[in-house]
Amino acid sequence: MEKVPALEIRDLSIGYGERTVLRDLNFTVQQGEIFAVMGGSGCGKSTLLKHIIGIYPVQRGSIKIFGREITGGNAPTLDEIARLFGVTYQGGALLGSLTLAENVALVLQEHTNLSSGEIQNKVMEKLALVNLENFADFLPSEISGGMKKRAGLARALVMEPPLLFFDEPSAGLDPVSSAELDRLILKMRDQENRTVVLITHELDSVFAVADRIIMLDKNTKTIAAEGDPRVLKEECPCDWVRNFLNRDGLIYTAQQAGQQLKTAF
Amino acid sequence: MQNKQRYFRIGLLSVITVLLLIGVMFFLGLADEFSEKVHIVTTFSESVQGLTKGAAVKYKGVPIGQVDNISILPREKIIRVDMSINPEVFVGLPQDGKDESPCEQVIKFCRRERAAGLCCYLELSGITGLRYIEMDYMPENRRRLQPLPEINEPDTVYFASVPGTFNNMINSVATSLDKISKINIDQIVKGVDENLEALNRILSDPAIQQTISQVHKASENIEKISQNISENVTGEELKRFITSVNNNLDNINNLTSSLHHKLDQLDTGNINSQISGVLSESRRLLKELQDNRSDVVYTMHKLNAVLDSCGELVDYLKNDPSSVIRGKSSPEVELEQK
Amino acid sequence: MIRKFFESIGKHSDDQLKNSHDTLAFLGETVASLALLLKNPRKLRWSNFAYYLDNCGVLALPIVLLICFLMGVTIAFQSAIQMVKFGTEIYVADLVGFSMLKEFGPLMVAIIATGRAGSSFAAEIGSMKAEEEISALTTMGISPVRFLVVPKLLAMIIAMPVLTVFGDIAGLAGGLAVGMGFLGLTAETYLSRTAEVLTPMVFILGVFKGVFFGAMIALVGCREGFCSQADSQGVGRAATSAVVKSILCLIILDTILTVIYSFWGY
Repeated sequence: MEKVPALEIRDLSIGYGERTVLRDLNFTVQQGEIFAVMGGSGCGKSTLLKHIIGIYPVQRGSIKIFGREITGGNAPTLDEIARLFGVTYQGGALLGSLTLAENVALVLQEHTNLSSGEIQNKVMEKLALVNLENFADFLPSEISGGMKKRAGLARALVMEPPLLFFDEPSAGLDPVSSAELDRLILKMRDQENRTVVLITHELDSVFAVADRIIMLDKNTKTIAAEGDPRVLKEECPCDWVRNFLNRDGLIYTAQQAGQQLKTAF
Repeated sequence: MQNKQRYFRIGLLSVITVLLLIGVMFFLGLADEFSEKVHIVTTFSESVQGLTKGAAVKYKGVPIGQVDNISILPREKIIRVDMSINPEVFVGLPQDGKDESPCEQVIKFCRRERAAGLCCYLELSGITGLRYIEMDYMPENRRRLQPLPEINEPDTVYFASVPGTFNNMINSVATSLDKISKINIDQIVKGVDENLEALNRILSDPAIQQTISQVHKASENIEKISQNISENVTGEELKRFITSVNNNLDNINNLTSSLHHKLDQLDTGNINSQISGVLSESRRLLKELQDNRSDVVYTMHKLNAVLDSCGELVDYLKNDPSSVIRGKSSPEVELEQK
Repeated sequence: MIRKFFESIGKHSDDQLKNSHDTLAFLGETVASLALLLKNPRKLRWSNFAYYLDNCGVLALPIVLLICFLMGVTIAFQSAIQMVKFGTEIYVADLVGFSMLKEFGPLMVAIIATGRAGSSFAAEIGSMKAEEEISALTTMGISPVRFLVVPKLLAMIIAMPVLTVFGDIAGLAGGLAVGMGFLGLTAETYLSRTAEVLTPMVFILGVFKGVFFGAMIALVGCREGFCSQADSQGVGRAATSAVVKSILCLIILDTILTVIYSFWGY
């Protein structure tokens, strides 16, 4: 029997108010996959994530997480959300007034009836998973950006959600930290059997971890290409996608400019 | 550590707040809310404007309680004022029974003093327009007992009220105003109007006009006469006249004294006696002349004064001929303009 | 031109309608969270509540005492200058007592709290929004309203009446200082006059105003924080807007409370 897709998106249009940012999105993320949403700056990657995780209401279409429709009047309860998926934000989004351990423990305190000892054990386990067990009593303001992201991951993992979203995991990190985070992402999939969705424009990360990607186009406001990034890099019929993946910014920009000129006349 | 300090501060603040809250409440009279009170009641037929709930009740100026309620008794058309007084203010009241509470003592005191003439009346509190209830003893003639409404409460003492000082003042002003209002101003105005009309008619009468012109002429004549007199008889002439009379009299005096001397030298009895008679006659004549001289001077002065008055009269009539009819006019009153 | 004008009016009204709808939804969520906490008090973040109680209550005390004392001095001075002309200096005690306990005590404390707490709530929530912490809370399955608003709201509801008690006393002390120093009244005369005209109910009702003012400041501050734009300028604007709207709402609320109290005869 075929497994239920971890994330299934059909005819999705999203935007703020009446302004549409992306439209007619169709893609599926299978369980156990590492899937990346890619695109240039301002193409609506983060907006897409915010709509998928329910921060903003969608304009049209359907989003299913493990077969559970979450749009319209079917919005999941807060308790369901915590168990369905975890999100790691760009800056970590740790609560500044709490230590790392408290940040991680918070979700457990809210959604489980575990004793404080059990919570403590679980917190330390997750912090150890992201190599932060020695920083449990630090405040977020006292640690580096990479550490914050890892602490954010520990927090996202603590409810053991089967699906993980990463918003720009490598942004602002040095190559070593970035590589460390990539290894963690692979660990999530390989050792913990989780599905991972990355929102990123870091090619190194994508080529290192992603099984499949979609490319979002700022001009057409929809998906330009979908597939294995290594294949797309060589064989994508769309020039700018190929150039983007080959990191040929100059060609890409000129191409874009040409297209813009065409549309203008 | 920081948390511990925070909790300490919050704890300290809580304790101080509770203490302050209780302290202020007691300072503002919370204790009074729990102490037993004596209830008294009075009624007013006059307006109780300015009396409010919570207004003071004073016994000879000493605050003893406050107004609890003000209500209207519609049947009697009077105002009922309920008050409570604090028994603690009364010190050393006689205790009849062993178990008698301070309230009971005060109730007895109130009943006793009511018989002695203790009454309630409204007094003004400063310039605020607010009133309080003053209790004092009133002489028999001032006491005006209100009809007692049926007050069934056994522990409530009823006191009669008398009109307050201010009320008396207001009443007397009201009486005066009432009297003034009874004067028929319309009739007075009508009378004055009629008089003025009659006067107008008189003044417009041709006979009066004629009289005025005649008076004018007469006054002109008088003026002419007086002018003539003053031209003819001047002060200088009068002086000269008097001096010549004086000289004549002096001459006569000299003549008689020399005659007297000559006659002394003659020693003839008959002639002597005749001459003596002539001389005494002459002396009498001289004396009369002397007397007449002062009379003439006096008459002349009077005549002069009369002439002056005539002059003044003529001037006045020239300026205001109508005064012959209506007499001297009163001085005009100037209204001050602010 | 005319069409544009009416279009702008229509758009503005639509925005306002949407805004009031959101505000009511926010209020509803807050009330629901409070009800949930009544059922399960363990869900309240007590340490956070203590933090705000300390920050908005204890640490605001010195400035509250100073400002209310000076307010008492000012009222007493202004009234004394007029009352001396009529020889009614003793009524300064009435004026200071009533105005401080009924109006200026609660209102001045509320205005200080608006400047301190209201703006800081808006800035705090605004910057949390900019840092995606609010989104993080939602995806962690935690209601941001319950997590962020309720502790602040409860802390303000408790801190404000407490501060009002202190503010009232400081104001009366200011009046007493003028009465003794400027009018030559004795402390006993002034205080006995104050005790004579004021009742415990006047004091309590004034302090009770603090409960409403505290709730208002917390709600407006938090609401502005949630509505802020996710950038540093947006956070600044949210803080400013929180203060302005709070003060406006305070005055309106004060008017309503004063009218309600006047129906009760206070």
